[in-house]
Amino acid sequence: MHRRTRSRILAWLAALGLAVAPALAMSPRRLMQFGVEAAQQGLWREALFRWEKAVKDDPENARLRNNLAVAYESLGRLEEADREYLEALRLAPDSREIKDNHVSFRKMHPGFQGVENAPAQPPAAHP
Amino acid sequence: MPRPSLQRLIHNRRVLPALGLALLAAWSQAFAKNDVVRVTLAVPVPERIDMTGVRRILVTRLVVDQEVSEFDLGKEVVTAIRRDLHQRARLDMIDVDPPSLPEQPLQELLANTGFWRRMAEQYEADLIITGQTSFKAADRSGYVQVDAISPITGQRVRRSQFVEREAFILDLRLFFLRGSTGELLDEDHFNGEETYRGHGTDRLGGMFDLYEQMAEDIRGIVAPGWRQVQRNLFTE
Repeated sequence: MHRRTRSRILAWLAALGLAVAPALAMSPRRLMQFGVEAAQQGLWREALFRWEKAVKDDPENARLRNNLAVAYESLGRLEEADREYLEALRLAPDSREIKDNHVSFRKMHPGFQGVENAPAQPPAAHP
Repeated sequence: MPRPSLQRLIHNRRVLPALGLALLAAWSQAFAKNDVVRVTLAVPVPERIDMTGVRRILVTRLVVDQEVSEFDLGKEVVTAIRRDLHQRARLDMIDVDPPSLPEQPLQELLANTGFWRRMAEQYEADLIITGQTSFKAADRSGYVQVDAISPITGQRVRRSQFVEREAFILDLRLFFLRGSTGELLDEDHFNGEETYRGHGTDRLGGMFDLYEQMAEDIRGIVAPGWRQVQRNLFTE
């Protein structure tokens, strides 16, 4: 390969690496905030992508699980939403905000009554 | 020992930072919930009853609690149901004269699965919608407080004024039955009231306005839809 072409490709790769690296290195907290910003603009797939990544690093975070549940709900993935709400409530049983979300969710989807004992699973991979 | 006055306390250099810290703590307590934001999302809601294999839907005549002199209430409500489910939910509504129901208490009739199965066979219906309805008008006239400009002083004054008003009330109880088995799949009760200024508002128009208010909920029983809901998100 021509030396000039090779150096150009390397430069492009370096630039790409610089651009992507901060996103890959985001902390769960930063991912959570980034997801909220996306959600507030209605970009629920982007928010879901961020929160799924954050939950992998911080699976015991009830607040993250709650946000993940809301994202699943907005995308119509109701079983996953219910599972995440239950997991969030298991981790933070006194959280009024999570309780409110879950009660409202169950009112809209009465078919989910009686699955409280469903085992918690890690969030499914983003399609 | 003399008690320190408030003024002296405020001017004391050791007290001021402590006071500042206390205020900061109180402020952060008050805004502790700032890490929660409310978002509105449009949530896809699946239909309430299993519509697998349901293609043709029959709406029967409805049981009318009290006839309305101006129009045929049962017929008009059936028209509204059919039109809404066909146009907005793209459902195949059987276009026939709505079959009448025998003079029998509706609850007894609902338990008679054979009756519904035979009706479904006759009309080749996968789903039957039946129900009971009533429409009433009520006088809501009375005194209300109105703001007006006084012609003498030019000032805004509040006074009581008699206002003629009329309310229309539509009550609708619907039952959804599976054609193949005659079993009752779902039932729901809808009720709406709308008040109009003056008397003589078109009653049929009022009835359709009230149906429109409940149409989305009725549609949600047999067709998927979208709902606006609010949820709490944590920012950190």
